[in-house]
Amino acid sequence: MNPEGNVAKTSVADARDAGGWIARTRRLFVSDSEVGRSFAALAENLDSLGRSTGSVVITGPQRGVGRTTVCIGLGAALAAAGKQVAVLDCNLDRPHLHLCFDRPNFIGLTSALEGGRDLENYGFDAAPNLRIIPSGPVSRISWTLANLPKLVGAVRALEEKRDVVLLDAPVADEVLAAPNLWSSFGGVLLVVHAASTPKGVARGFTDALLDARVNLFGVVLNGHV
Amino acid sequence: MKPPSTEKRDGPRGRWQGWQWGQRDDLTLSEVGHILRERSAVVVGCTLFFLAVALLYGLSRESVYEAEAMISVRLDKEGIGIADNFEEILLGLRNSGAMSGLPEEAAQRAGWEAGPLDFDQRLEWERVNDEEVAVRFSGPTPEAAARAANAYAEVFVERIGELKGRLAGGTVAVDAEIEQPAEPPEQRSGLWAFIAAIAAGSGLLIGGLGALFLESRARRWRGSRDAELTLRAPVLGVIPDYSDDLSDGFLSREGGAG
Repeated sequence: MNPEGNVAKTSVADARDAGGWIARTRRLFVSDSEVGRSFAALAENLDSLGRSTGSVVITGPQRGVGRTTVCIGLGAALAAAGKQVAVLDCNLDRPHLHLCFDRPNFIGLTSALEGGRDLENYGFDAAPNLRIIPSGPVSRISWTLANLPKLVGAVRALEEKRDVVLLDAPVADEVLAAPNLWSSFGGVLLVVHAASTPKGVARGFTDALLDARVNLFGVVLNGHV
Repeated sequence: MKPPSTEKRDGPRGRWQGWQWGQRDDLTLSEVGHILRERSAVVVGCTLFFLAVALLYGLSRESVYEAEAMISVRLDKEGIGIADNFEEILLGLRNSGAMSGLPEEAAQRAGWEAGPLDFDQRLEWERVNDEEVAVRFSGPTPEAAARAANAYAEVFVERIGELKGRLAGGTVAVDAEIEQPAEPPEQRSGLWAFIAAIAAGSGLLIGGLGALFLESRARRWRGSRDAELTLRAPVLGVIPDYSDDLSDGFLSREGGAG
């Protein structure tokens, strides 16, 4: 574990934005708001797919579409519905799940993978039934294929304890770079932003994900006006 | 992009859903219809533009009607096969001194105001066979074209009459008559409809292609139906933009984290 490395990875800009993320995150837990109801509907739709969703990879065609927002909002809605949920930050190149809760990133996913420990022992509870597991320090562990089997095993172990595991995944082209890893999980939700995602790009990634034999559950349209 | 094999999609876990099976490379009619409806302004605008261009072209271009008069010319030259020399003799007739001033006289008789040079440019001769010559005139109206063709044919026949016995030193006898006067050609009422149809078709095609291009580059999603048709995947959730709801105004990224 290397707290210094984590500090170095957390940029000044991220720190400045943290206040905004915290405010946004707070809104995601208000169940009687329009946003809360939208996430509740999403949770219901996901649940109605007619099978155990298990682990859900949440990705998007580009950065800034709201992958982390959807992870937290969906997690909060599922938790409010009585499901045991874990949200796992898999953005090892740019982690920020912890920023949304104004928490440090000293320990998390990478710590568990390095130590071969249970992910359930890391992170914090953001709400009843909702476990948030940050990425952990990312300076000493690289996102290499050598670590991928460990991740799959750790998530499978977490699935034993949690009804749903939401993976805040990298953007879709990184997911497509390791399709065997991401297709190991229950399925994928593709997040597109209603005001910034080019349609052609989103269509291309949707096709590419299916071509890569990833089980695409469906799409979440975020930021709709 | 190569479509995934159905074998794998049927996979051991049997988790693939129906919508994931289809051929995804081709644009379906429903997608095209959706895009054209959403971008109807582009399609309609393009079609109207092409129609306007066609209208301007049609208005700026003179209508051309061609009328044809048939003249019968009989030649008799002792000891020589007429058929072999018909072309040559016709040329001689047209270039002979007796034919000078023919276009001027014909233009005057037809009431052609643009002058004999313009009249001559619109005139066309064609040898049909060894006894017949067709005279065609291209005019702005059917009546003017027929009048001009007939005027020329009449003057030509009159001049031939004046030449009797004088051609080729008196060895060739020539006679001519109007076999069939020119009739005003039919008004082409369908032409405008044809041009309009071509323009509208071109406008629809180019407008449609433009709409498809714009849609592929668009960043504005109109809702879940739009997303489902565009991505051919189910939309499980639509999350509203709630950045305006925040009171602290401390947002720097649209759409939130990630």
